Amino acid sequence: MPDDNYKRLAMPRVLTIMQKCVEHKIQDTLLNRLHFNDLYCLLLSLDIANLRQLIKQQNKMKNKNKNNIVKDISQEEAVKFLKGGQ
Amino acid sequence: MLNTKLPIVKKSFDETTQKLNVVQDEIEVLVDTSLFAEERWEINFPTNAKKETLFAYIERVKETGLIESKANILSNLKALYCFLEGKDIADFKSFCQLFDLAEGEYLNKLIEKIKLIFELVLKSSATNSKN
Repeated sequence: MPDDNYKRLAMPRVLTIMQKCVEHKIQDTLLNRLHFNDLYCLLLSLDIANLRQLIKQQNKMKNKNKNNIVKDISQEEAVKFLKGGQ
Repeated sequence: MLNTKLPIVKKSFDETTQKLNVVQDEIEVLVDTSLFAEERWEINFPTNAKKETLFAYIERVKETGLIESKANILSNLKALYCFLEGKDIADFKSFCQLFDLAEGEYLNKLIEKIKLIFELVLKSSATNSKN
């Protein structure tokens, strides 16, 4: 049995999930048909993807302010750079 | 949604013979595993919902073997009620009145059905609440 001192919910869980469904534009048909656990997992993965994107953007902004140029490079380009090429 | 049948007991008093007629029957129900099952859990049983989700509860009773426990039948009926939709199910009180928990053989049959529905509910998900 879970602990009785379990943190109280600030808002009903269902409303929080519905709010997330609206935020991520999840259709009603999907909401009706999808298993609760699968829907929960989908919302979490969408949230994680959004957060990753946000962190990436913030890092870019930080580097821009420091006048550092950050480029997304391929594996070959990385090897070339480490060998002294451009 | 999954279609299934639930064993129920119908009781009536026969005025002419002055006897109680007990008939075992079945009702057609739909098993809903969507967000709305969780909504029913939170609306009808807020004390339970504060501690765990409906699906986490099912997983826990399955792991601990509480599905087969006759002492846990009321808690299992609460969870079952949240999954089911049907014209014979109005509220939790009328849902409980469909069963006769005092009759041993019938209770075993009901527990088997609950176990089957709970297993179906967990199997119909691609994931579980722990991963």
